[in-house]
Formats: sequence, C-alpha cells, structure tokens
Amino acid sequence: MSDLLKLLWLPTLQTLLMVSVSTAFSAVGGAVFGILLVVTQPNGVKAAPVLHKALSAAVNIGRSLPFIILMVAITPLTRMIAGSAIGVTAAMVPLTIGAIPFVARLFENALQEVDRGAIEAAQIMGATPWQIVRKVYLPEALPAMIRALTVATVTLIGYSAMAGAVGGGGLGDLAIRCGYQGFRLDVMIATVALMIALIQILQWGGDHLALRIQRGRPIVALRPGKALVRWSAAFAVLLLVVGVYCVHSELHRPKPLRVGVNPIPHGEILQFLQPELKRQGVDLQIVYFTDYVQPNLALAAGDLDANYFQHCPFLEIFNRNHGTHIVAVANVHIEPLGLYPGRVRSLAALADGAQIGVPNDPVNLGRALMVLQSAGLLKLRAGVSINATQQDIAENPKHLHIRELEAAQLPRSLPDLDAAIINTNYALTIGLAPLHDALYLEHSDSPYANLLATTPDKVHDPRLAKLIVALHSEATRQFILNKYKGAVLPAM
Amino acid sequence: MTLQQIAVDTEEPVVTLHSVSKLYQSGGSTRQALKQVNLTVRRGTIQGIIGFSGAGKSTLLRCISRLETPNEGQVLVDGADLAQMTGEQLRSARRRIGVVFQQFHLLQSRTVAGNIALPLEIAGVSDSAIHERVKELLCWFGLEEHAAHYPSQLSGGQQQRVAIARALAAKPAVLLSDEPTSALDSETTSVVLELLRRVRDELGVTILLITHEIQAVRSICDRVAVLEAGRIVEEGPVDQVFLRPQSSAARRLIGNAVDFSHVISYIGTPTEHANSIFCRLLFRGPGATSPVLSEITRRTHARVNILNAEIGKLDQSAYGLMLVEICGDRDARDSSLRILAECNVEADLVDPWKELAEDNGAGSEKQGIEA
Repeated sequence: MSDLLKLLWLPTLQTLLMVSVSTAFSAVGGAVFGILLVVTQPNGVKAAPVLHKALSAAVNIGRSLPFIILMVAITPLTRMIAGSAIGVTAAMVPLTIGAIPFVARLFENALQEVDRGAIEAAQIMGATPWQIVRKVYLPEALPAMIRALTVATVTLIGYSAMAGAVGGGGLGDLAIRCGYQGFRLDVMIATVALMIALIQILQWGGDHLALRIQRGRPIVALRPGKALVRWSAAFAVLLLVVGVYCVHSELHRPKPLRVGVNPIPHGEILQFLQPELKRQGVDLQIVYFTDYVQPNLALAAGDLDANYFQHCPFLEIFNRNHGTHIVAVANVHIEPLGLYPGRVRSLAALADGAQIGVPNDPVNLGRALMVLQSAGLLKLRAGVSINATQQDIAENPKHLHIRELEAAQLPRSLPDLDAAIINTNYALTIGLAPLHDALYLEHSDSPYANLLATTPDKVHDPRLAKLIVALHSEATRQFILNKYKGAVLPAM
Repeated sequence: MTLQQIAVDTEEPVVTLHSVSKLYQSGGSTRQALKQVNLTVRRGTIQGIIGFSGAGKSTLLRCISRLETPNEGQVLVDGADLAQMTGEQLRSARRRIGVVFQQFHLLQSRTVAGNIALPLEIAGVSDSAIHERVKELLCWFGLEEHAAHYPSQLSGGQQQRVAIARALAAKPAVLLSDEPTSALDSETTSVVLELLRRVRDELGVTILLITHEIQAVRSICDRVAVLEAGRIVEEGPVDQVFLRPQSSAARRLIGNAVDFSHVISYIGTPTEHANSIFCRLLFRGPGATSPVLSEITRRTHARVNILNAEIGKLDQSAYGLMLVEICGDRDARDSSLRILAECNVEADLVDPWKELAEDNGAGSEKQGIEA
C-alpha cells in the first residue's frame, strides 16, 4: 500500500501542476479569442467580418490538430518558452496551446448566451465596445464561462495523460507505463480511481462556484463588479506566480545527469545505481519514455545528457534517418529476442501456416526475421541482415504467416498467435522467464547489446564516466544476473 | 421633488422624424418596414405609437435609438440627427435617449443599484456623483429596500421600475418605452403606467410609448400615432383618435370597432331593413348619463335596437359608444336624430354591409393582435 502511495504521489502532483497552470493560461488566451470572436461577428458590437472569419478559421485549425501531434509539432516553441522540450514545465506549453482554441469556442458560446437586449441597452447608453465587454459581456457570462472552464479543465486532465510522451509524467502516464505496460493492475485501478475523484471534485467545485455567482452574491456594494474583478485578478496572478516559479525552479535546479530510458530493465538498472552515484556526487535523473524515438530526439536536442534504451543497429539507422550524431559510449546489457509460445507449446508443434507475431518497427523486424532464420524456420535472401523485411524471405517451408505488431502489444496478443518474437523487456512484464519459457532464444553473441549513448559534446562529461564505471561494476553485474535470472545478460 | 428641471414647453419638439424609411433585405427579397414616417414628439408629452405586431413599431424605435440605420430620412433627437452620426459623436448623442424594454433587459450580474449606476459609469461620471444620483433615483422610485437585491429576486413590476430608473439615470431628453407593460399583469400594468405619468409630470421627461395595448394609450398618452404596415395612418390627440377614429386600423386597434360580420349574421340582408338607419352613438360629458334611448321611444314611434354597446373611462371621464338600429318611418327617424342632437350625443350614420366589406379589405393586411 505504501509502495502504491509512493508511486502515486509524484504523478498526482505533476498532473495537478500541469493541469492548473495550463488551465490558467488557456483561460486567459481563450478569453481573448472568445471575446474577439463575439465582438467581431457580423452583428457584433465591433463588427469586423474578415477578422472574424480569420479568427474562426484559426480556432478551427487549432481544434482539429490531434493533441499528440500538436505536442510534437511545437517542440521548438516549447523549448523557447519552457527552456526544455521535456519535463513537466515543457508539457504545460502544448497543453495550454492545445486548450486555447477549445476554451475560446466554449467562451464564445457562453458570451453568445448573454441577453442581446442587455447589450443593446448598453449600446443605447452610449457604451464603447470595450465598455460593453467589461461591463456587460464578461460579468453576465461569468457563470457560464466558469462552467465552460470546468469542462476544459476536465479535458486537460485527459490531454495530460499524453504528457508522458515528453517525460511530463502525471497520472495518465503512470497508468499507461506502470499500470498497463507494467501489468500492475493495482496501479491502474488506483490511478483511474484517483482521476475519477479528481474530476468529480473539479466538476462539483465548478458547478458550485458558478451557482454562487449566479445567485445572490453577498456583496452589498454599489458596484459589485469591482470586487469580482479584484478576486479574479488575484487568482490569475497567483496561478501566474506558480507557473513562473515552476519554470524557474526547473531551470535553476542543480544540474542533474538526465538519462532517458525505457522502464524495464533499463530504468530498473539505473535505479539500482542511483544511491551509489549519489554518494559520488552525481544526481542521476531517470527520465522514462515508452517509445523508441523521443529519447533520441530529446538527447539530440540537449534535453537529455544520455540515453540507454537502444542497440547499435537501431542507433545507426536513427542517425542516418534523422541526421543526428548520437554516439555509443558503453555497452551495458543484452536482451535476447525470444520466440515465445502462444497457442502452440513447442517449436516442433508449429503447424503449416502457423501465425507468428513479430515487432513491426524496422530494426526489430529485421532482427526478428534473423532469429527465425537461425531457429531454422525460414531462410532469408543472401546478403540481407538487419534491414530484412518479409519481402526478403527466400524460403518459408512451413508457410508461416508473419504478423507485424507494435512491440509493446505483442505480449497481449500471444493468445491470438501461435508464437511470437518478443523483446525481453516486454516479455518480462508478463512474467515470462526467457531461459525457461522461450521456444527459441537469440544467441548471446548478438550485435544487439543495449548501450549508453550521448552526443559528441558530452562524451567527456565526468559524470558520464562515473555512470559507465558504475554500470560495469561487479555489483551491477550481480544485480542484473540475480534480478533477471539470465534473461538479461551483462554485456561485459 | 425636483430631480430634473421641469421645462415644459410643449411646442418644442424633442424627437422629430422626417420621412424615415427602412428596408430589410434578406436574400433576394426586400421588405419595407417603415415607409416615409413623419412624426414630431413635443417636449413634456407622452406620445403613444400603437399598431398590430409587424406594423413596424419596434423598427421605428430601433431607428430612433440608432440600433438600426434608416435608409432615408432624418431622426432628430434634441436637434441632432442621429442617422448621420458614428463613433464617439453617436455615443454621446445616444446618452440623450433612455430606453425601457418589454423584457426589462437588466444585468443579472448587478444589483438594483448597480444596474441604475450602469449608464452613469458608461458616461464616465465620478464615483461620488454616481452614488448621489443612484441614491436619489432609488428614493424617487421607492426602491431603497431593494438596492442590494439582484433582478432575479424581484417581481416583474419591480424589475420594470428598476429599468425605468436606469433609463433615466443619465437624464435623457426622451424615454423610449418599447411595450413596457406587455410582460406584466393588469394590476402591475396600471402601477407602471402611473409611474410613467409621474415621470412626465414630475420630472418633465418626454416619453415615446410603443404598445399594442389600447389600455396603456388610453390611460396616459397625450397624443397617439397609429402605425400600420410601416406607415402612420392616423395621428392626433388621444381622445380624438380614440373616439372618432378615421382609419380602419385605428378602429380595429381601439377595439370598439364593431364586429360587423357578427352584427350582420343576426340582422340579415339590407332589404330586410329598408326602413332602418344604423347609427354609431358617442356619449360624452353630461349626455353620457342621460337616458337618451328611452327618450326616443317615448317621443317617437321609432323602435330602437341596440346592436353593440360599450361604456368606459377616458382620461378620467366616462364615455359610451353604441351601435343602434333605429326603425320607423322617415319622420320617426328624423326626430330620433334630432333628439340625439338635443342631448349632445354624437351620431354618425353607418352602413353595416359597407363597413363589413371595408373591414374585410383591410383585414387582409392585418397580421393579428399580439397576445
């Protein structure tokens, strides 16, 4: 239980921080766009049909971008604003920008609901457009705007689950990474329960506040609007301070050694090293990624000092495709690919036309086909190796159906396949013991050792040298052998 | 109480409309909402504008407040032509106009005091002056105890009182009232109308009252204009228009128009009434209370048949309107008319069958009375 609490504590804070700061900023941005949309409409108080159309189109475009795409697309902007493209602060930027068009539309609808007659009354009183916005539109629409913002905040909690892709953490990320991919049902349930509670509280709070504003407000002043303006301004300033503090603290923290990893076994191995490195004065910060592209992009962009999740063939292809200059500095371990049983229990039982699952990313696909070749199940054309695809299969005596699937999905798909080539890290998550359970295991002399990589400018970082020494220490060797029962082998 | 200097020079116009026309265009079709409307509203009077829905009343009011721009004509408010103005000039000219609506249109986010303060805030009046003025108005309108209440806590009549106070806050020259009592029950209606009368009498504010309710016009207006299909078909002092309506629209609006189709359904054809005359009788002043009809039957051989009758009050005095058939020989009929004249009863001869034909002709333009 206390383990669960410890797991949940930080992600909860991360979610709260990401959501509250991005809500505050998107409320301000959304209000600006929402007001402009309403006042510039053809029968608005400051009609400007061309501007209105342009704004409306901009908002529609913003709303049609899938959030995950937006997050990646605005990386340079994020880096400019938050100083880094990964981490909690960095996640706030796409969250805010993604939410602004949504909030703008919601606010626009809330403002449209304001009694048209009250606006005309103010016009006849000789009010300027800005006076109408300040004295009629905003105070009259406030309850509806608060309700709209509640809806937006709930949506932002949903978006924040994707912040894990840029190392922002949060509850959603925990549910995916630890709960789903790590097969921790308790974590998944706890996270979902926490999210439900969070959203309930938020919705209740929003409704309650809107209702209070709508019904008799207790202020007996001649101009109650002023008190309201003061309070909301104070609230906005408070949130702004929190946001700035958050950016500030992330920028001025004593520099940790940031290493991007996949959670298992890379993350676990580094966790084992953390206390030892701390004694040596190295603040090792482990940044978790659940995919194979972001850790390299983040490293190339300088958001990471090193990463540890890939092998040499993958790195070479990546460098070639992305024009990056990431270099390997140390081999750490080998995770042999294994052919694991699905519906069949032995290699010999594989029938004609059996369904074999393989990872669908180019590197693992080629490697998987090579494993199937060395297992004697098929033959590849002469000369092809790590780049092999299904087109390169020269002989397939058993007419195997090769099914390409997302690497992380393969363990869950085993019941639907006769057997599958699975990366060891994913095999471990469902409790498969490679040496014991695999029908066939990749040889340990494979070129696919997982390595520690960095950029050329950081190769001589003394902290990195300390990390390498720790990775190759006898203690680490023993840890790896004991923990993974030979399924993960130290590379040295 | 002198909230405003009472400067009643009833000859001086506050609002003048010179051949104002307004066209609405939607798609390919155009609709002329106002046709060459001329109207002069004199200072310190209550000018009624009455018409069926769709007659153009609201358009007329929107043209005066410049929520709509007329296609032609002049709209002079206190001598300034709003139709030609834009920007800051228009905004400051608009402050000479106060408006009251059927649905009140108060700000739900402000208290009563806050609502009354709104026009003053907009005009950039200092906080202390606003405070003074709002207190004054709250007191005059008897709203002190509601100062801190929100509109949703008030009854319709109270809300309309707040709306009137708000409209008067910036001391406008004219108060435009668009169906101010149409959302209220009859008892509250008379309270609000009485309040408008006090606004004219005690504050000297000129009022333009737009309504479809004849009752409202009858009880407080000095003059009334009848609007039909975008035109002013009749205009004059209320008693004149009311008692001797010249247009069929006025008669139908006033409601003392006799339903001739109903009358004819029981009197039959003209040939059955060859010896009859039909009279519209108007009793006013002393004649209204004397037993004129029994006088006729006592002194002549004529028989009198009452087809339609109404007794009411107009500007505090009683009146009676009646449609009668006087049946008898020529002498009897003539002496009957003489007796009516002796008793100061105004009698107009009418031909029910002709009236019916006229009504049917006009009725095709009529678009029904609002609920």
